[in-house]
Amino acid sequence: MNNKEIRSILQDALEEEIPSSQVDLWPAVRASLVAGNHDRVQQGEKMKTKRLYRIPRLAFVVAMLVALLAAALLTPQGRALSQSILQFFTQAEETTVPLPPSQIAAGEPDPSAPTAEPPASLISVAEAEAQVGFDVAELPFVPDGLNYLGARLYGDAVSIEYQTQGYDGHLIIKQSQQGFVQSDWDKVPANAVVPVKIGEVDGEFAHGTFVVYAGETVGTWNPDAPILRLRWVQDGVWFEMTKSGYAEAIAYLDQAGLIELAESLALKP
Amino acid sequence: MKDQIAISRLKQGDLNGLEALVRRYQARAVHAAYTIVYDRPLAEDVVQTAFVKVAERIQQFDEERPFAPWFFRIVVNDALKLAKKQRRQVSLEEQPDHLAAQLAKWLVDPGLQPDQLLEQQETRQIILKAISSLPPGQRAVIVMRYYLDMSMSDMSARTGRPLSTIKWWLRDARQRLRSLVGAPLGR
Repeated sequence: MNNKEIRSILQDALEEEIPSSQVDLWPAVRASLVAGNHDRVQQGEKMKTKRLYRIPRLAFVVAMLVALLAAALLTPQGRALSQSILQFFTQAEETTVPLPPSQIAAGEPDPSAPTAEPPASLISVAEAEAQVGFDVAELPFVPDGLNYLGARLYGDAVSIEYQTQGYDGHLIIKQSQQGFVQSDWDKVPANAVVPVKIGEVDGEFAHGTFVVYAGETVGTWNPDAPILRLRWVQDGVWFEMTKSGYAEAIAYLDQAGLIELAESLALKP
Repeated sequence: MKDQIAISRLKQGDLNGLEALVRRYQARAVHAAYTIVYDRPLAEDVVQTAFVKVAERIQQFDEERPFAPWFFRIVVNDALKLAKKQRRQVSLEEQPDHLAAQLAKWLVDPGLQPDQLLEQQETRQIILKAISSLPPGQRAVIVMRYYLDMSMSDMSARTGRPLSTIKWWLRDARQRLRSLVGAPLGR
């Protein structure tokens, strides 16, 4: 059965429900126009094309701009939004970043030194949504070569995570209404930032990361490191999609592959 | 009166142009809105308001472009907004039956013979009931795709959503219908 046949059946059903012969909106439409603007509506006469609502609308637009500007300058979210409008990755001026003193190796490791915090527990997307208070966009399917792990909370951000069978490749989709959590290690040299489009939305792509080579006291940008990141903002939510690892099973997830995945993200109804 | 002439007249302030458009599109528009809001008076309100918007915005409309997609976009958007407010749903979960199961199979696998499934008049009503059990957004894509005959790329352009999202919405709509009645997977 093709779409025409489906449409035909739908039309029949709707025609039974509301016969077309019973639909006559013209008197009501005409009455609405007359009630809304006595000057311009008379059957068979010319309407005046004066825009009665132009001044109030202009005032409204100006007021909204002022409010948005104030929000952009005065609130952390606004500042984050303003920054994100300009750029999604914080750009590094150099291809090296200095290590903080605490991270510069000094002899043998100190066993009493604090270790990295373990990741938060995996939870369901519904549980994560309840915690952060916004609807989380999801992929409509598990991408080829990956297994679905679940969601984790990182402060105000939700991360949906996938992993390859051999644990050597990951896909992580972070979403937050508060902006991206930034550190020096998240920076990207300006020449490594690629402007992209995710559907109609602007975004940025970066391949590489800062790494610390043995004996060095700086982090050096490695454009070949297997970390690919895509960032964009849509409907007030900041998105970061990160693919990491050398896994052959997800080698297809290059810049175009990530963008395609990003475009398929949607809110579950 | 052709659409272009009607629009041209309306732009000059002649309401006969609008009347021609109302008479031509009102029934189809009410049907489309009804499929989303599931309330006839509300559907008629939506369409009436859409025609008033047409009159108010006609100066911005490019006569060289087809009128129907522009107009139905207003109708679908307004109906969707209203439906989201209303959240009026008739759940098939409460009344699964044989006909509903057949409908779900049909929506999932259109290859099934329609005559076998839809020969009874009441079955057509099941279609409306089944669609009404979907969330408003999915009702809208069903309307755009199967009633207004929009291509998926048109729907993508008009909703501002990626094509892949539209495809997923349609697939998910069919799957939700299927799960509502517990029908076996078609494809």
